[in-house]
Amino acid sequence: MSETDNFNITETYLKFLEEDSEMTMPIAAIEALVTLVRVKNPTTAAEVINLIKSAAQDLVQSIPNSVSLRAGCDIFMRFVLRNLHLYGDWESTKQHLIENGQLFVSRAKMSREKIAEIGIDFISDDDIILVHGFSRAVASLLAHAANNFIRFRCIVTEARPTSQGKQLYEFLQEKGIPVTLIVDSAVGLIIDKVNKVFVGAEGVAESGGVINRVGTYSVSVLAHNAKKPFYVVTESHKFVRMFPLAADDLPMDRKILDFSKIDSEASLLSGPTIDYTAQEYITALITDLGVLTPSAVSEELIKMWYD
Amino acid sequence: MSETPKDASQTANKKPEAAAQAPEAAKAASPAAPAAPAGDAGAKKLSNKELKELKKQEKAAKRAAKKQASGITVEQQQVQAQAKREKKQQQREKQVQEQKKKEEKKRKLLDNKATKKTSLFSHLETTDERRATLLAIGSALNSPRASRITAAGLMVPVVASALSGAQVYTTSNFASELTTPKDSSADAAAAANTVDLAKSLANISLESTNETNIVPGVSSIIPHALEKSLETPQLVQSIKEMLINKDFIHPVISSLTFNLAIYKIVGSIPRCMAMLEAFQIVIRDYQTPKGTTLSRNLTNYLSHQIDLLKRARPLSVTMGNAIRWLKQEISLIDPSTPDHEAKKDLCEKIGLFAKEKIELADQLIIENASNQIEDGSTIVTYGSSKVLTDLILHNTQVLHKKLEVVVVDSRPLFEGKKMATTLRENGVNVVYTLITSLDTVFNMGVDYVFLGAHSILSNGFLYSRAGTAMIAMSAKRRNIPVLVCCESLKFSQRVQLDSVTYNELADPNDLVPIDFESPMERRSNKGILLKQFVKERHETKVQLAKENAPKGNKQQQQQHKNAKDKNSKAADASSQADAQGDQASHVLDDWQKLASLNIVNILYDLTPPEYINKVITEFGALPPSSVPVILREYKGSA
Repeated sequence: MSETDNFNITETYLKFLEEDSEMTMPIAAIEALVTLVRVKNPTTAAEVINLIKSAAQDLVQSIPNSVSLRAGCDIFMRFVLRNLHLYGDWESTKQHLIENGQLFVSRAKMSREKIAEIGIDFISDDDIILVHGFSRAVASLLAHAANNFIRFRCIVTEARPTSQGKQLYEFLQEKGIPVTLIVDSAVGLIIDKVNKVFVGAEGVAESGGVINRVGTYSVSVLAHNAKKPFYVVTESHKFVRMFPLAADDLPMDRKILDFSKIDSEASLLSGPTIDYTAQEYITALITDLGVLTPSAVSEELIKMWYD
Repeated sequence: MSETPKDASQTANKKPEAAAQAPEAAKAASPAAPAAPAGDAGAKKLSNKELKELKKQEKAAKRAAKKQASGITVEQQQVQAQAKREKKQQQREKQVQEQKKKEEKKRKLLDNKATKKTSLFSHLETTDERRATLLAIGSALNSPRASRITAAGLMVPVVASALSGAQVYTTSNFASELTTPKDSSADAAAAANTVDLAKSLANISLESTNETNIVPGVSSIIPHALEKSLETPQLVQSIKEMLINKDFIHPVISSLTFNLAIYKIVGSIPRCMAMLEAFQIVIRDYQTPKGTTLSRNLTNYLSHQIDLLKRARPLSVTMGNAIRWLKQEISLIDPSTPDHEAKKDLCEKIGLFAKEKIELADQLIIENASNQIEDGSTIVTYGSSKVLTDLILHNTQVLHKKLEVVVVDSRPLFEGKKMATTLRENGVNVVYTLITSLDTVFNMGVDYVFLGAHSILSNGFLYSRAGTAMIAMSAKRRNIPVLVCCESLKFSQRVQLDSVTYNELADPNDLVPIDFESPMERRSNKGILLKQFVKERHETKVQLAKENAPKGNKQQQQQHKNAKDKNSKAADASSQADAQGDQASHVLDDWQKLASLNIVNILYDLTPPEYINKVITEFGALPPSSVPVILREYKGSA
C-alpha cells in the first residue's frame, strides 16, 4: 500500500534514465508508465486511461525539455487505447499491457542497431562527416561504420551550451575514428570541406522537421546553402504528433529571449537548449523504418494513429 | 491479265485505239485516284499501286473494246466519257461549295462565340451556356402542363407569348410583358421558386430580338442572345437527354438547382449540406419501381437528380465526395431489406455523415488550430470562410485571446464583407482591405495567414477562391506561415498542375461595372438583365422619337448643347449617353460588341504546396504532402 502511495512518476522516470545510459527519453517514459500501471494496479479501463493521462501530464510538466518524452507518452497512450478493448477479461488485458509495454521497450532498444545497419550505406570511404550534438543513434551508426572498415573522418561541433560535442569527440576517438572538434561558430568555415552532415533528433515533428539540440537549425541552413546532404538519424519512436512552424511553437523551459538584466555570466549564456529545423533543410531521415523523406513522417504518424 | 491476250487476239486491229483511250477512261472511272501515265508503267519497276493502275487501264480498254464490239464507235465513247467527266466535275464543285458554306457557317459560329470566350478557357462551360441549359430544363420542369415536346422542339407557350409581345418596343408593353409570364408560370407550377425563375426567365427572354429560331429538341424560350451558346451539338444532346428524363426529377432538386445557379447557396460546404438535405427528402419520397430493387435502382434515380444539379454549377469537390459515399452506401444495402427501412436507414446515415464530416470536423479543426494562435497575434484571412470565422470567434470569445484580424477581400464578390461584419459585430478588431493593397498588409506585422479551401488535391495543391495563390505566395516571400483550415471531405483524388485545365467561369459581366450597393445581388443576374432591357428599350424609344419627329430632334440637340456648355469636356466624352438622357455609362459597358476584347472571370486558382506550411484537418495538422495518405487510409469513409 505504501509503495503505491509513494510512487512518483518523475522519480521513476529519472531512475530509469540513470540506471541505463543507453536508454532514450521516450523509452524511459514508457518504462515508467508501464511500471506505474503495474504498481497502481487500476481496476477499470477508465481508471487506466485517467491514470496514464495524469501521469503523462505530470511527467511532461516536471521535466524540462519534454519533446521526446512526450513522444513516448503519446505512443504508450495510443497503445493502451488500442488494446484496451481487445480482451474481454480485464486481468488479461492488464497483463497484456504490461508484457507488451516491456516488449516495446526491448524492441525500441534494438532499433538503434537497425538504424546503424540501414545507415551504413550513407557513409563511404574518404567521407568527411560533420556531426552536431551527441546522439546515441548517430554515435552507434558511426561506430558501426568504423567496425565495418569504412575509413571516414568526423568533424564534431562543440554544441554549446551543453558540452555534448566533447562527449561525442571522446567517444569517436575511443573508436579510433579520426575526429576533430570545432567551435559552433566555425561551421560556416568548414562546411565546404564536409561531404555530409549527420544529426540526431529529440523529436521529429509531423511535417518531417526536427527538434534537436540548439544549433542544428544553423548547421542545416549552412548545409542547405552549400548543397551538402543533411541527414537526421533517429528512432521512429521519436516521431511526435506536433507541428511547430518555428521554434516559437516548441514547449520551452526558458524564454527564448530574455532581456532582463542578469548578473552572472553563466546564466547569461544559458538560453533554450533545443531548436526546430524545418523539413525543407532535411535531405532524408535515417530511421529503423527505413530511409524516409520528411513528408513520409506524417504518413507514418497517420498510420500509427488512425488505422 | 490472263484474259487480255485473248481479248487482244479477238480484236487485234482495234487494240491500239483502245489502249490510247485507256488513261482517259480510267480517269473518268475513278476521279479520286491520280492517273498514272500508261507508258511509264511498263518501263518502271512495278509498285503495288502502279500494278493496280495498270490493271484498271486494261479493264477500261477491255470495256471499250466490248462496247465497240456491241456497235458504239470510238467517237461516241469519247463523248460519253466527256459527259461523264463533266457531270463528275460539277458534282465535285457542288460538294466543295457546300463544304465551304458549312465551314463558313461554322466559322461564323465560332467567331460569334469567340467574342464571348477566351481561347485559353474555351473548354470550360460559360455562364451563358449554363444559363441557357438551365432555362431550357427549368422551364420544362416547372411548367409541366404547358410545355410539350413537339416535332419542332419543346414549346413552352407561357414564355413564347411573352416573346411575341416583345416585338413592339413601347414602354406600356413592357409592363404587361413582365407580368404575363410571371402569373401564368406561377399557376403552372407549385414550386416555391417558380416566381423567381419566371422573373429571370422573362428578363432573359425579353432581351431577345423579334425572331426566335427553334432548334430541334430545344426549348423555344431560349432568347436569341443565349441561343448561340446552344449551338454545340453535345450541349443540345445533353439537354435533350435531360428533357427526356425530366419526369424523374424531384421538385426539391430543381429548386436546389435554381438556388445554386443564382448563387443563393454558395461555398462548398453549404452547397454540400444543402444537397445532402435535398437527398434526404428525395430518398424519403422515393418509390422503387416494380421489378427492381432499391439498392439497384436508387443510384440510377439519384444520377438523374445529380445530372440536373450539375447544370447549375459544376459540382464542388465536397458534393462529389458526398455523392460517392452515398452511392457506395446504397450499393451496400442488402436487397432483402424492406424499402421503408432501407430509406430510413439511408436518411439517418446521411444526417450522420453531415454531422460527422462537417460539424464535428469543424469543431476538431477549431480546437486544433486554436493551439496555433497565440495571444496578441495578427491574422490575415482572405474572403469569407465559415470555419475561419468560427475559429476566430472561438479564440476571442471563449479563449479570450486578443487578436487583430485583417480581412482581405476582392472584386467582384466582396465575400469578405460578410466575414468582417460578423467579426466586428462580435467585438473583434478587424481591418478590411482589398487584395490590391496586399503589400501594405504584410508590412503590418502579420503573424499568420489563415486560408479557407474549396478543395485540396492529391498533389497537395490548394484549390481555392481566385486570389488565394497570390496571398500565399506573398506571405511565403515574407516568411509568414500560411495555414489552411480544411475538412477532409474537401480532399480530392484529382491531380492538377494549373488552374486552366479545370476551373469555373463566372459571369464576365460581374467584372464590368462596379455596383457598390449590392455586389451579392448582382450575382443573381436578375438585375443586370432587367437593366439591360430597360436600357435597350429606352434606346429604341429615343431612336423612334428621332425618326418620327424631326422637330423634336432639334430641340433635343439644343438641350444637348446646353448640357455640353455646362459639363464641358467631361460630358463630351459620354455625349451619346447624355443625348439620350442616360446616366454616365461605363467604359466597358459594351464590351460584348468589341470582337477583340475578352473578359475572364474565373472563380478558382491553385496554390502549390510549397507555399502552404500546414493543413489543419480533423485528423490534426498535416503537411500538404499528406493529403494522399489520408485519402488512401480512409478511402472507405471519405
